[in-house]
Amino acid sequence: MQHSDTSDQQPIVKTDKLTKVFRDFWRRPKVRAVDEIDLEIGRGEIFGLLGPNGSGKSTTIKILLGLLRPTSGNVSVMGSAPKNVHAKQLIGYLPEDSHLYNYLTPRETLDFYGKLFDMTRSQRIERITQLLDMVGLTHASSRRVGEFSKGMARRIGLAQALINNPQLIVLDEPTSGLDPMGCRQVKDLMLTLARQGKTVILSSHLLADVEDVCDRVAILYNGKIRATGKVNQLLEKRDNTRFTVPSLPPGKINEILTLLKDKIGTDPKVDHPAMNLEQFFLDVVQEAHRNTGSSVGKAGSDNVAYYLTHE
Amino acid sequence: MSKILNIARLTFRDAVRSKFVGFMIIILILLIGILAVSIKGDGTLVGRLKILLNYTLNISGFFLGLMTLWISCGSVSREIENKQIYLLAVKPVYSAQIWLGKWLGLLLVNITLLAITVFIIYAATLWCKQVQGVTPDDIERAQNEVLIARRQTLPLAKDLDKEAGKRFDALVKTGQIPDNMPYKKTIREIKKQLSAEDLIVAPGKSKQWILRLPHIYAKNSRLRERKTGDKDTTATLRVSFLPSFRSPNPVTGAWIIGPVTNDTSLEPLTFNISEDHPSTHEFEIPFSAIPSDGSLAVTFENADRAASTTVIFDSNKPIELLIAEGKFEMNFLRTFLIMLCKLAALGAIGLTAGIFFSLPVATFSAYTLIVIALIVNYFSAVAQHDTAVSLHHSHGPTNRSVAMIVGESIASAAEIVVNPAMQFRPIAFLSEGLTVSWSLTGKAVLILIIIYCGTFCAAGSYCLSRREFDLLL
Amino acid sequence: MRLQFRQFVTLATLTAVEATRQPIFLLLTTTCVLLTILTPMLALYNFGEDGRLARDSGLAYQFVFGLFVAAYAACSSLAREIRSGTASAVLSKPVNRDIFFLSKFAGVSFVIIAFSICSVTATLLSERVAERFMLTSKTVGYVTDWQTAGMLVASVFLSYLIAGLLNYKLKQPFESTAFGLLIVGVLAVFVISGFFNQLGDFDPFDFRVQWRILPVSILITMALLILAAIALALSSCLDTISTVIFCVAFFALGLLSDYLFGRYAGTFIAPTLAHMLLPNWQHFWMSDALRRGGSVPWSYLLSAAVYTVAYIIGVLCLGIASFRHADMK
Repeated sequence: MQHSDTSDQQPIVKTDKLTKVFRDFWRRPKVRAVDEIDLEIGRGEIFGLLGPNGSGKSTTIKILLGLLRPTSGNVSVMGSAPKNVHAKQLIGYLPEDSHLYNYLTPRETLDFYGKLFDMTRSQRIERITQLLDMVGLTHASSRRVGEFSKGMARRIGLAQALINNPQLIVLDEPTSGLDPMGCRQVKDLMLTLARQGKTVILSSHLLADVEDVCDRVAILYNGKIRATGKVNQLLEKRDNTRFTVPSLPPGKINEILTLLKDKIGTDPKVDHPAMNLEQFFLDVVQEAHRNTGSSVGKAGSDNVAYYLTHE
Repeated sequence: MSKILNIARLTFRDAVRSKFVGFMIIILILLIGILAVSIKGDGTLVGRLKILLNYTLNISGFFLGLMTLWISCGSVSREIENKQIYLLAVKPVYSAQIWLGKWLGLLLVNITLLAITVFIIYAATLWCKQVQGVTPDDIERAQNEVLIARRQTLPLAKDLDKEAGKRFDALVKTGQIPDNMPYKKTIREIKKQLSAEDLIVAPGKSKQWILRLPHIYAKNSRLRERKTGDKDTTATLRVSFLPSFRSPNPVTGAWIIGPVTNDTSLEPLTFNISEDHPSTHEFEIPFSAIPSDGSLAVTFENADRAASTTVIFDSNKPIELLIAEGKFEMNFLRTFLIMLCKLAALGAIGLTAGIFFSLPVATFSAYTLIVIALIVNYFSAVAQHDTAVSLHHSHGPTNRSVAMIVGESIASAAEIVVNPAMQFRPIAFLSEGLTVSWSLTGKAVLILIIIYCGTFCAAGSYCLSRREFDLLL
Repeated sequence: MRLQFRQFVTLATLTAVEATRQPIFLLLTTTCVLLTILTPMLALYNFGEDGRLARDSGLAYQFVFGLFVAAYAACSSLAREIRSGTASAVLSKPVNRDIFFLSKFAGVSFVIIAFSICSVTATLLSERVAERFMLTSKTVGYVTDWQTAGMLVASVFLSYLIAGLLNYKLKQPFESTAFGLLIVGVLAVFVISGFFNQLGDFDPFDFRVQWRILPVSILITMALLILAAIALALSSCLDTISTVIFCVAFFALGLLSDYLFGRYAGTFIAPTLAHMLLPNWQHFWMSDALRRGGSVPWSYLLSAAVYTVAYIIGVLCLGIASFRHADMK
């Protein structure tokens, strides 16, 4: 594998007044999909691109990957132009729809993409086995991808994006079509990869996903960045404070409430923190799994492929 | 290279698993099977084999060509439409590798299909020999005339320019040419007249052709030694002519075949004929009778008016010398290779068209390109064969309009581009039992694969690298 | 019943509009019209047979280009819709599968008929344009109707120009607008040509075309409709690639039906069946009947129409049966 010598300080992705204008047949501007975007994404960061449909998230990603050419502005990925073939050695991409070859099996699909990176046969076999186990499709590795459900195809899509142990992973709506377990797993994977110093760019309109994993986000609307910054800072409500304590008997609660009211002058609110639906769902399914065994679509360990975490 | 092979394997696998290859095989088997059973030819085994080879190879070649063009147009355009190209384009592969991989994959598909086709056709020729009513004589004739590779030598073309110049001078001297006649046009007319005269031998007259055998048959050649060592080996001289319909006499005369120089060591062979129908004659010439310098003079002496009539020879090949030099199977192999080169070139056109357009429009443009190429080639052949077409346009002094000059330049440029690719017609040779040489095969590889496919590869890869994917939102 | 009829009309219209929005149909129609009209203009030395050449070529263009139109329209309307999932979206509504399938055929037929109208009008005009010997009080000699030819060529460019302008100003889809305008333009030239003679003089109310070309062209249109029905029926159970391959095979076998099977018909069962079941395209190619002033009798046209309708019904029934059981993506 060829690794670029990008230092920690140097941004992995940098755009400067990046603009993309789509034109009609008569070359008249039709849509300004991306409008003077400035981005700087560093090593080990999980960066979220947020925005409603048609806000320019996918276009930005396609420019970063060299699938589209910018109309104006500069863009550099891993220190070189997006079209540079060598830089692509270190990039993994999961598009919005998986776009796989219908007549290939998952194993053949991963082998095909693996061969496009100068990987040895044994390296490929090892990684494919690990990746198939990671996405839970080892049992379906000889079925054709064309027969897969959207979620299963998505898992193969994710596996192909990681086959080259990329340093920059671009995920376009990675959780669309996935079941909550898959979503959780993808989110955990992103966190693991970031801990390894890999950079993840995530485009999504599922805010919960972004909130769970992203270090920084940029919110796009009509091709422009409307807000950007660290997630914690953006979401922090500085005019409220919350205490969390173990479950208390009613008498104790009243005692504390009175004490608090004396100190702050207003009535504090009391409730039981609710588990979110995602966590509840995962608990139920894990319990069921323990009792009855795996489901048809996905089965296997939730381990992250070994090579992605141990170099 | 491994990346190219990887993409090639994917393309091939896609064609096989999408059942394309399977359906094509079924259709080819049906097509060839039905043709093999229904073709009867002129009733002889030789005739049947000639037509069988010609029809089945041409029809299946045409069908494969159509399908290659179509599937190659889809190979990239469908991948762009289905967005699978996204995943390929973000991997560390050059667009030339993608193009070459696809092309190689299509070539593999073509090799498979064409090999099966050729195998079935070969089996059909074997089957034809087993059919009821075929005698051992028929089979022997077929082995000697069709199921063989014979080298064809045609007589040397006469230098008409020189002769036409002489006649022009003579006509000018006698004052038979008006002053305002343009020189070029007159010379062309004289040349036409000379070549017509050349095909006619009046009673009492004679005509001589010189055949110069290829270098490998000349002295000291191993091949020659091998041939002359074999007493039974003969060369065949085939002559085609028809008698003038005005006279009731048959064509009577003698064919004398001997050395060009005064080589007394070799006795000229003489064959007498008397024939009153248009016909083709074949004379067997022992190899030992061919002079060591490889030059052979063939003379036809027509008998006088009382016994014979005017003879008109075939304008394309009045006489030809055929020497058996190889096996039918190897000839078939070379035909297969040249056909494959043609299919590869079609694949290259389709692939490049698919980069620019969606599948239907790419298919349409590619087919149109081929039709235009065929038309250009046809007209250039007509113009070469019959100068009358071009003469018709040039009445009086030359005052051509700009449009005409532009048109002619475009036409001649088109000819330069198209004609080299169109010169390979191995099926016509194979079905006549003539050698499809290795040099022709090599030339096909050079022109069709290296030059044509190379050019399309360069153009296609450049455009693919410049192409933006998914311009819609 | 009324609802079903409305669904049928809506779906058929949608199929036709969807088809004409694909550039390939515009390209095929334009090329066919231009080739038809250019043939007599570029023809050289036909020994006074320019009219025949124009007629035969025009009809041949209609057949060849029509084949592509029919096969592609049929494939793209069903196989692609099944693949892309649009078919399942429509069938999730209260739409009967039979109606869906038949409406596809109706839509495709509409495109084929529109194409054929364009093509036959061009052929009629092309025959009129072709050089002929005229002996009138004003002229003795060979005359080519340059005016009509010019108008027809101009109408093609004009329809493109107007469609381009409409696209530029009003964002109208170029392909379908140009396709519609092309038909209108060709028909308009046909009407205008009725006011002038071959010399270009004003001489109204005589079209000066050979109407006997019309039945021959109608026969070709019938053949195209049969092929479209076959393609549609095949695409209900096969993907595009297989459909096209089978269509080509059907066409080739039908073309050689007399030679391959006809001579054994009655003697052996398999060739007899093949000869009976394969559509024999030779019966629909009657251009030769126009030689030496001949024409195709209307009775022949009628029996061909009966055959066509019966054949199409048969094929569509098979298609419906297969489509009823087809899995939607």
